[in-house]
Formats: sequence, C-alpha cells, structure tokens
Amino acid sequence: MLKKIITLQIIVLSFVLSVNAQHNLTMYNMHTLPQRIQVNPASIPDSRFFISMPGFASIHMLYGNDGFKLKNLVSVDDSNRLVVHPLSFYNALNKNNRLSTDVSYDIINFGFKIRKSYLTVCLGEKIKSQVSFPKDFLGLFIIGNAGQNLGKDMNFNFGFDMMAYNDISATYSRSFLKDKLRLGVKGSYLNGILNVNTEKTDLIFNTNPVDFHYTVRSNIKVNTSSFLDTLNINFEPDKNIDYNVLKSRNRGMAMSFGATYQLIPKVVLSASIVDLGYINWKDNVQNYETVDPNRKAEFYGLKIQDLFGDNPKTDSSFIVIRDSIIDKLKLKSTHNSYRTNLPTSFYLGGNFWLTKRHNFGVLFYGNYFQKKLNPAITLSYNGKLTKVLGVSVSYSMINKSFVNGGVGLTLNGGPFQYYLVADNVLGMIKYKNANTVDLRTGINFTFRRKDKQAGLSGKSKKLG
Amino acid sequence: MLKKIKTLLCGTACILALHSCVPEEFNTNGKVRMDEINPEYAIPLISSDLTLDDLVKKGGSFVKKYDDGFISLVYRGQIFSSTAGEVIPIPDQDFNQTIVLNSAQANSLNNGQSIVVSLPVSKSFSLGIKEIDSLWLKAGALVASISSEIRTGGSLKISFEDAKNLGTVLSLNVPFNFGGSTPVMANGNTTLAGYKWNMSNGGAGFNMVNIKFDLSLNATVEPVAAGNQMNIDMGFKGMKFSRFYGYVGQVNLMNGGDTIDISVFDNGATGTFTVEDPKVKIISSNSFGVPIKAGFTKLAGYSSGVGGFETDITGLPDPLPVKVPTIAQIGQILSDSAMIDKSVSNIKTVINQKPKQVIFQTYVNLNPNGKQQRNFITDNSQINFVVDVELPLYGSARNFVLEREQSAGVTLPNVDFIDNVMLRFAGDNGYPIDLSTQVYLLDSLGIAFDSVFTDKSYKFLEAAAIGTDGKVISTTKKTTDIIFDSQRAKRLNRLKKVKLRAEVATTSAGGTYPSVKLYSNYVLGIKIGIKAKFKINNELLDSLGKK
Repeated sequence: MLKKIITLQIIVLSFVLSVNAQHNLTMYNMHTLPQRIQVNPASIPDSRFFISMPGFASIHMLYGNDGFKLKNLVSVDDSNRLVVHPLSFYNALNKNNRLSTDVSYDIINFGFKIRKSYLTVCLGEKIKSQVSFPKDFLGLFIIGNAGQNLGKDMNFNFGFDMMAYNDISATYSRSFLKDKLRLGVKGSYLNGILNVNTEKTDLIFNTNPVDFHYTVRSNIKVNTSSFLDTLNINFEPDKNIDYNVLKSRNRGMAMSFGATYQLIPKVVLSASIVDLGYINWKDNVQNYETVDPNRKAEFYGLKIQDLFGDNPKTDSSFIVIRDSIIDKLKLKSTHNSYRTNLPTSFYLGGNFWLTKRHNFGVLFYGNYFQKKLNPAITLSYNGKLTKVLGVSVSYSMINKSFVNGGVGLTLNGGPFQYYLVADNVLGMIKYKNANTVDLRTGINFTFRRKDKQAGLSGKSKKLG
Repeated sequence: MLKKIKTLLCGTACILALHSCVPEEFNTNGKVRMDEINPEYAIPLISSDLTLDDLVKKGGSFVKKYDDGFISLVYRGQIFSSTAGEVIPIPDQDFNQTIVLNSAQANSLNNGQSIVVSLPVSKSFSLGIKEIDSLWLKAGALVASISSEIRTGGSLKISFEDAKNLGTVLSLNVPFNFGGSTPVMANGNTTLAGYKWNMSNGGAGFNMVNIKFDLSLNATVEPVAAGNQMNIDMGFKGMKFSRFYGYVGQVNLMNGGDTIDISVFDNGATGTFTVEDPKVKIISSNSFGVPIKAGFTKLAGYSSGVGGFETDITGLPDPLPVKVPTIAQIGQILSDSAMIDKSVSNIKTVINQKPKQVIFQTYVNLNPNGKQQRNFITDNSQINFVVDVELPLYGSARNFVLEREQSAGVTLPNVDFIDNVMLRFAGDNGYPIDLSTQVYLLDSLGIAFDSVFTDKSYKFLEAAAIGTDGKVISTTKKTTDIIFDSQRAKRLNRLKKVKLRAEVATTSAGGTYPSVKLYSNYVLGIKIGIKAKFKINNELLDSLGKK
C-alpha cells in the first residue's frame, strides 16, 4: 500500500514539475478543506474532527519562475518548424531569474474542535529549492560583452538554495467576541536535513569601454549543511549514510499567526503570517567565502614582449595571469554554524458571503525571501455546492503573470474526502504562457461537517 | 438520493476533466530554426607600458640610468685573452743519471754487507726564454725508471729538497729485486700536485733543480764488481702550475677583435638620427703580474650592404691604460679605462652615420720591453677588454624610419559569420617623440594586400608635451579604431606576414627639431584590443552540425 502511495506521489510530482507553480491562494478560502489551517491558523474547516489518511494526508508541489514564459523562447512558424528566439527570451528575463520548486508532504495530520477551540497536529516534510540565474550570463552569449554590455557590470550571480526539513507542528485557535473574532497560532519544531544556502554569489565582470580590459570581482558566500557526514573524506554515499535524521543538531522553530474577524454579518476579514522562523545549521557545515571581496582581478592583455619578443612566451604568460586571477578571487573554507530563515508569507483577505455555502473572496499574498517581496493577488469564488462537492474557482496574478486560473475541489463521500487544489490550472494547459504551477492533493476523513461561515465556529448566526 | 448521485457524478466529472486537460502541443515537423543573433565580443589583446629598457634591450645592449634619470643606450662588446695556463705551458723535463759502484762498495757487497750509495746532483729546467723562480704545481707527475747491472736488490730514493708540499719533501722511492739475471729493471712515479718548488737556488738563480739519489743495495752472494752501474731515466710530465714566479718572456697574448651590433639602427631605413654626445669607453681588466702593452689596431663604425661604409673612429689612446697587480695582489683583477667623446674624436660623426655595427681589433703584448722585472702570474691570469658604445639619449630624430617584417599567420574562424572586426589601438605617449606608423599585411608571396592604417605615415601618437627644461610635462593619448568589415576580414585569411613601419621624429618646434633628452621615467603605453561582431544563425549551426 505504502509503495503504491509513493508511486502515485512520484507520478503526480513528475506531472507537476513538467508544467509549472502556486502559493496556496485558492486553498486559503476553501472552507471545506482542513489543510487551510496551514495558511491561516485561525481558519478552521467545516468539520469538527478530521484526520488525514496517514501517508497521503497532503502532497503539495509548486513550481514557479518569475521571469520568462515558454513562448518567449520558442514558437512554431507557418512551416511547422520550431523557431528558437534567443533575443526575445533574453529580453523577457529579469535581472535575476528564479526557478523555485517546493514539495511538502504531510504524513500525519489531524484536528478537532472543543467548544470554542480548534486544535490540530501535523507531521510533515518539506523541501524548498530555488535556482536563480542572472540575465547577464545569457547576455554574455546572446549580446556578448561588447555592444550594450560594454562598460556594464555584468553579474554572473548564480544561486542555488535548497532546504529540506521535518516540520512537527501544533495549531491552536479560539473564538472571541461572541465568535466574531478568531485567533490562531501555530508552533513548529523544525529539524533540518539538508541545506545549501547561497548568501552571496556575486561574480561581477566588466569590460572597459576604452581598452576592453576585463575586471572581475567576486563576493561569494555559500553555506552547506547535511545530516550526512559529507566532511568525512572517506565518506561513501552508498555505505556511510546514517538515516537518523531526527538526531541531527540542525534544529529550528517557526511560528504562524492568524486571525479572522466578522466585520458585518456577510463580510469576514482574515489575516495571517506563516512560517516566521529559522533553522540553525550545525551538522557537517561547510562555508565557502571570498577571502577579500575588495580585491579585483584585471586582465589587460598580454605584454607585447611576450608576443613579439625574441622569445615569445604566450603560454607561460597566460599561466601567470590565470594564477593571479585565481589568487585574487580565492575562496576560503570554514566550518561555522549558520542560520537560515524560512521564507515567510503573509495573507490579507476578505470574503463576502452570499449564503452560508457560497462566498467571494479577495486575497493579497506576499512572500518575503532574500530581501525581496514576491506578491500575488487572488479573486475567488468558494462554494459548497452540496454536502458532497465543494468548489473554489480563483483568478490570480502571480509572478507577473496575469493568467492564473485556479480550481479547488473537495469530494466527500461520507467522512471520506478527496481534494485537489491548483492555483494555475490554465498554466497546465497553456503552458507556453505559464510561469507558475502548483498542485495539492490528499485524502482526509472529516466528521460532523456543518454549513457555516468559514473562520467562524460555534453558534454563529446562520445565513441565507 | 438522486440529487446526491448527480452531485457525485458532477464532482467526479470535474476532477476527471481537470486530470484530463490536454496541454497544448508544439506541432512541429521536427525541424528547428533559430532567430539570428549578433553577439559582439571585445577582447584585450596587448597591454604594455614600454620603457626604453623594453624597447632597446637586445643582446649585449642595456640602458644606463644616471642619477637624474637621464638615460643612455649602451651597446657592449667584449674580448678576452687566453689564460696564462693556456699560453705559458711548462714543457716536460727529462733527466738521466748513472750511479757506478767503486771498489770499496763492490767489496762490501761481496763480503755479504748491504750498503747505501748517496749522490747529490744539480740540474736545470729547459724552458727556453722563460725563467722560473718558483712554481706552484697543481698537476703533473715525477716518473723514473731504472736499469741496473748490479746483481742484487734494493731501492732507489730520488728526493727534491726544494720542492715541498706542506713541509714534505718531494721524493720518489723505486724498489727493485734481483731475479737471477741482469739488467735489473724497475720504475715508479708520484704526483706533483700541491708542491711548491723553489728553483732559485736560494735566490741566486732560476730553473735550478737539486736532486739527491739514495741507492740502497741489499747484501748478496752474487758476484759484484767495481764499475757495475745503475742507469736512471727520470722526468717531469704534464706539469701545470697554479702560480708562476719568474719571467715568462715576450708574449703576444692577443690579436683579435669583436663586433658590436648597434641594434637601434638595425631596422633603420631612412631619415636622420642625431645623438649629441656619443662616447666609446674601453675598460681593461688584468690579472697578469707582467708589464703589458695593449691597444686597438682598429675601431670603426661599419654598415654592410648597399650604402655600406666603414669609418675609423679616431682619438683612442695608444697604448691603452692597463693596471698591473703588484706581487701582493697576485691573482687579483685590476681594472682601468679610457673614454673618447666628441672632444677628442670623430665619434659623433661616425655614430650619426647610423652604423649598424662597431668593429674593433686589439693587441696585447707581455714584457714588451724584455726582461725588466720579475713576473708573477696564476694559471687563471687573463686580460680582457670591454668596449661600450654609449649613446646618451640627447639628440633629435627626423623622419627616422624603422621597418621590420614578421610572421603573422592568422587562422580566423569561418569569416562568413563575422559581421565586422574592429581593432582598437589606445596609446599613451610619454616620450617627446612623434610616432607615425603603418602595418602592411603581406601574403605568402610577400605582396601587400592591405594596410591597417590610412596612410604610410599615420600619426599614431603625437609627441608628449615638454616644458622649458626640455622634460616631458604631460603625455598624449590617442585611440585609433580600425574596422574590418566582413569583406576586409575575409582577406585576412591571406595574411602570412606583417611589415611594420615606424617613423620616429622628436618633437618639432616650428619646423626645427631641437635635441631632446630622454629620461628613465618616460613610458609608452600601448593597449590593443579587438572587438568582433558575429552572425550566429542557422547556417552556422548547420555547418557546426555537419562537422
């Protein structure tokens, strides 16, 4: 059974990665889905008790890039030839372009309501990775170092960040002010498995516009940590792996906070801040850092005597220049522990309830990572069509893309609930125009579901 | 119930629809095209800050810097004499001696007694005109052989009381045995290395060799008669000295010369070049403790070929000053010098003819006036002359053209994919010299098919500005771009050689060319870069694919 589940997960993951990414924008307003608690600890589902299917509680995969669309790179002409557009692709890129892939997998998840309180417990694993590549690097091939790049600082700051960790969390929420207000908090204990952290990867290349001489400066700081003893020179991946992950010293914590407030009977406001936390990486740490970021390596060309003298020595001159450059851009290696923050997100939403089963929502989302805010806005319809079927339809602007049509479905048969949520279904179909795709799926068992406004519990006034 | 079933079917249909969405396909025929891109690359090729050291250093030439930074070009020639060990050999010496028994000595032997016969003799080295007062030997051998008709055994000791090595007298012991028949034969040898030999016989003479023979004869039952004798052949072979005191005779030590390349004129074609105060300095270095007369039989400026000439340089002292070590300075090298300039010589006229070479011939005679004083030399004693032709860089140049050809095969990438190539020359001239230049591109037949600059005397760099003291006060900068379009770039594939033409002129003032001085801090900065724009398109990719 477990093997089948894993196989299924791999198939779904492959599908998602072949298309594109998401940010839980649709799920935020799915009042029939217990997993929404993860994006707002104060938002509770319509069931008094739920337990997710162990091993298939939730699989969430996200792919996104903030730069190009496939149509920028290729098209098909009238003769059915695939046409590659390097310049169009280059022009569509940002200064720095990120490809991110997140995978989270909940193993255990359950929750229940006691009077005004709602308590959930979750055990999951998360893998967050991000590759960034600079526009300037492609520019070196497509534009060259002359032309518009002459005299310009071209930054070849490739980045690769990856963080894998276990997340054991407990969420508690309670209603106040006669159920108009609900506050929630989630605390997580984090246990780091693997981390690659590129704090700085500046490699700046400049071509002087007068005499074309090159200047290279670097400012690199990369940290790595793993529960595996990779620093052991005798380490053999096939033999020395110790999977005692939970014994690792890579520990951290995270907090999430949420609130919902019924402003007027048909309008509910909500807000949350998610994954405000960090991990201290201490196991098998390796830091690589530029010895002196102020040093610069310059190449002016060969000496004329080395080329045209009685004893030309071009090869040895190049070796001297190479060694000089390597020396000036030298990295030092240390083993100092370091801290990485989780990519914190926040949500601000408002819902207008037409009836007790149907509402329209607007949601503003922001993710703050590496000193950069990545926003998204979502408009959604969320409805519980019947006791069996819950539907959310959303439209989002994500990653500078304005065509993100999302869908969320919950299908209930008795306590059995299968759900599927995606923020950009259109992206899976119109992938030439997409740069963000995500998918979340899983199975819950929900009990004692009732129709009521999301975010409120207890004896709220029934609508419609 | 029916409603629930409908809803379930509806939901299932939605999920199936979501899962079965068919992504848009790229319906292609398998062929791929690419939009043309035109990347442009700039590469720094050459960067040099050229001082005169870099510009003229070649072979035996160097730049001489004065305390105030003023500089001279110095072209050096040098000639060495043979060493004393090579020109003053000590020939092998041979001596013969016979020892004859008298009656008493014969009777003693016949009576069964052993005896010792001692014989001191004096001989002299045969050296011709050379006279040795004393000799320090570093090699050689004393060899001796005997032939005796005395019917007994014994030994012969040959001693030289005047030759000692750390207090030990030079001696050779030759044992011999009687085997039943005569003559009794034997021989022996010993090394001479390390011995210091006084041949002055106490200061009264030279070449004197005092020898002492001690013949020990064993008792014998064989008959011995008076008149029986022993013949001794002895000699000194392969003698080499480390020091020689005495008189070496009159020796013509050197008759040779050398040629000094004045490379600054190597590639000079036309124009004038004036140096205000050229000099020739001759430095003699000597370690012979012998009276010497040395001088030059020729010193001349010379150019071969069409327009060639040979003009003697006058004003040299004859003989040249040569210092001779005292006996306390034996082994030391003492130097002296002589210099000629425009005040005593025609050197300025000769140099301003731009000779490509200066040639010279020297002579050196030892003891030119015969035996007037005792000599002292070591085996390494030698005399040499350094001839420096110094061109102080104070002068003027006008239309002075240097030309040189150099191989320059270029393998260009497929030029069809080159849109254009630009060569950029960025110069920063710190010399008060105008530099005009041209680079001709030659094919395999040596025919110029293109030239880099617009005319043959393109003003590549203006002279640096000079102040009232004649020194440079600011450099001049100039950037020159030479563009090769695709057609011109294609022609570069014919390139096999380049002919470099440089026209040099010192700064002019109203049509005159006043003399300027060059200082060591003057620098010519040259930077050459290349910028190429490419056409990357399907044709290029197809051609790469075929390869």
